[in-house]
Amino acid sequence: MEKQMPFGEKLRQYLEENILLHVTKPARYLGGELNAIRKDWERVPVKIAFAFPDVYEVGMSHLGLAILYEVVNSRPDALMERVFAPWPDMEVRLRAEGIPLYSLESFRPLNHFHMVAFTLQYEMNYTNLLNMLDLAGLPLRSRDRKAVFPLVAAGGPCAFNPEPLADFIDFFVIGEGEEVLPEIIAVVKKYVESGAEEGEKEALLLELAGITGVYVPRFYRPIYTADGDFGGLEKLRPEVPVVIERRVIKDLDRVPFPRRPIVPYIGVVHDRAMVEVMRGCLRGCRFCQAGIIYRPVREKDPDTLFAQGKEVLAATGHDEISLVSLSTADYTRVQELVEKLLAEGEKKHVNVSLPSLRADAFSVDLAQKVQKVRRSSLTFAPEAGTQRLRDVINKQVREEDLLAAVEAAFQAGWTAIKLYFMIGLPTEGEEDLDGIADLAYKVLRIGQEKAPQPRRVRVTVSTSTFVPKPHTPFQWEPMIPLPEIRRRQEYLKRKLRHRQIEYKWHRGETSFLEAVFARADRRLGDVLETAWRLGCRFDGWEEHFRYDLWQEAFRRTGVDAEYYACRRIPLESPLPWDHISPGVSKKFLIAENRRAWEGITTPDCRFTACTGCGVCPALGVEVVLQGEGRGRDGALPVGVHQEG
Amino acid sequence: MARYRLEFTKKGSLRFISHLDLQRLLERLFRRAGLPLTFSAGFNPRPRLSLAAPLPLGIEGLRECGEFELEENLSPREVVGRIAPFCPPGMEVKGLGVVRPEAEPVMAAVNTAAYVLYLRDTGQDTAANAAIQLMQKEQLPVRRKGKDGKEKEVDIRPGLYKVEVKKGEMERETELFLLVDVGKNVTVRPEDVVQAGTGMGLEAEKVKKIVRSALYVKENGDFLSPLDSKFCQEVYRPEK
Repeated sequence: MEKQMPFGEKLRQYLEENILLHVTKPARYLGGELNAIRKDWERVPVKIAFAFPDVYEVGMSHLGLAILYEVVNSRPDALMERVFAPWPDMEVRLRAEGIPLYSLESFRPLNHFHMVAFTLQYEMNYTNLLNMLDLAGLPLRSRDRKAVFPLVAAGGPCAFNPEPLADFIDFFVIGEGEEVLPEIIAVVKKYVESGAEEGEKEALLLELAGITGVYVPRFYRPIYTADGDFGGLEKLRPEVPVVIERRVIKDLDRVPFPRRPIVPYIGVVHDRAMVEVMRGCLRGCRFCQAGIIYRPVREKDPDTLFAQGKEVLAATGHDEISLVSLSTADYTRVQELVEKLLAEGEKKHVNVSLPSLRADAFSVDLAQKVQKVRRSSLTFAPEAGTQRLRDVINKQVREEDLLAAVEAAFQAGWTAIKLYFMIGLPTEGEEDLDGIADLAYKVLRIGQEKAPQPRRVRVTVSTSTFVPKPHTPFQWEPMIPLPEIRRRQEYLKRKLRHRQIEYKWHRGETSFLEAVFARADRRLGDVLETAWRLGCRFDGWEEHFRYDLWQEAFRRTGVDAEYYACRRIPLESPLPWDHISPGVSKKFLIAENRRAWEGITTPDCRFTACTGCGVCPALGVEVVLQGEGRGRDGALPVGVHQEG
Repeated sequence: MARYRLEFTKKGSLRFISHLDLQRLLERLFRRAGLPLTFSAGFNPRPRLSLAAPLPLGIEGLRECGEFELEENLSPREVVGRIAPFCPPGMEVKGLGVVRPEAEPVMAAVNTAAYVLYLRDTGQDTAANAAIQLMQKEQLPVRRKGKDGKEKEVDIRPGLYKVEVKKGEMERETELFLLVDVGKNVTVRPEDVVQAGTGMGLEAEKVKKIVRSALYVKENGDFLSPLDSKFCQEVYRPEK
């Protein structure tokens, strides 16, 4: 990239005339959408690029991006622009012409910014992150980036095990960005305004490390035992914290919400208005990381939500509004909110959609309310095929609830039911696989008996493979090895051979790599860089995934992938992510792991007593409900906490 | 209820947006403008808004055309006043009229398009010569990739109405003006004409830019504007 490329309007013009006609979906690279914010570059001190390490259509469907775009751009002293991973055809053009990766608002290269902030939603995006740094002309390794700016930051769920990216990222943000960004901006602003010079990077990072929720990996060094196991993390500076605690918002009603979100010109994954009804989920599924790292449940006021929903619709013109959360049917005022939005939307032909459904009749009733047209299919996630295994994973769905829900759905006119399961869960045996098949056939039989057109009934069974995730009760559990994944998929394929049943499965190799990086320590950084140099990109996309190149990367670096994914980690071993605290205590996770093996379930603390996960006392937060929980056995939420 | 016909531009960055995305953009635009479209009856109601003759990605349109139905009866001037503030950069209303009840839907009616190809490093004589040769041929077979990925041969001659040449604004630049069929029978694309004219002096690499300058309704040998008084009344054309 020797030749000086223009930026801004000139770059935009050059792209339009010479590049964009030769790539797929050129609007991905054009910006300028409705409600995009372009601030006066010269008059704003702190400039942040939000970098999404996947393609535009995926990134623009991500509510977190919209929220932080609003939070930062509503401040007079900072601006945020967007950048996404260019699709491989565009990457080729950018490299050939020496055009550095640029932001979609100002068309400026990333080194014009003070901060490039990546969101880590998925382990299979990591090679894209390296690729974006490289396309921006930035050295990959934090140590090699001598200039103070741009700082390269990362947050999001995968930051809860930051170690595989520790060598590349200057600092990680643990927890909710709305809460911590203002403090980060204040520090950066100070250095921007004083005209920071090269030698001051270390001092700046040290100051950032003093903010709760900020992790600066260069101030820590991993220790390995003689056997090559991870042995702990050593602090290199006395000032930095031993444990980095998650940041969390206490009152969601009081943080800015994107009421004028960007409307893409092209169709994206989720093409609709969104309001976030609550954050967190307390159901306590033992494989689920989101269920831990977003605790506790904080519901928003239905009046706020209704007002925000109306504003979003007016500002975007969308014909659908989605009530977003980890488990929207659990929102205590969901019925009332849905009814109000439906009444409002009816005359304008605006639909309401719910992204996730529980497997019960209440949810089907809700789905029926919002879908006047019985669109394609209804999806349920029993996750496991037998009650025994569902108890192990604490997925509190009873078969009779599921079957009642399915019956209600068929009677209401749906003809297709999708069922999601996981294979390879701890303690899974052949009878659990049989249970998946049995359940599918039971659902089919109900359809054949109750659906108005029995011959049109379709049941789709989808399985993914259990991946042990950090900070979950199952973080110590092994993933089943690849040949075993294939064997179990083959087994189900044979069992589910029926003209009205379709079986889909996730590619085992992808899940395997996901597990490797989920439980990685810092040594995986070399593997990642090697894989990227070999050409790995968009690993989450079937058409680009090159498992052979990954195998080559492991061979070259001498790293044993199975060690990371498929071994049982002893409960007492130090974990590479022990220095990151989600607020839920390790003691609780260990207790949950034991209860799993004993087949004992743990109830949702909204409906019974506190389960002692520790998050409320540790982070000084409370469960926030807007109404009374529809408790099992009529129990009301209890606000008394056991000691964690 | 009233049916309106709209003429508009699709310029600048908007040329990179597909036909389907444009359709959805307009639906959202009417929602934001607070002008309720009517909806089709039936199982899956769709807003009554349709666009004539899809414009290929990357080509600017100076007079694109669409039709929509509103719940209210408003004057064309008022409709334009309401939607204009919501038009994205590159979209400008050129005209709006109330469609006569007997007029065919715009999608079926519009069957002809005018394109201008800006050719670099092409002399006016060369281009003029190619134009004459093209019009003299009785058949102009071109190869096209079908939806199944297989190539097939199509004769575009019946759909090629006119080829004319004008001197371009830039040195050594020539403007090639085409009038072609975009109806149900033989839809001719500008690159088809360039392909047919390869060997007569036209070259794909020399096409600097393509613009679709207008759409027409061909009727008894006449090329009529979709907003012609035969189809529309109360036509309002905002001044720039």
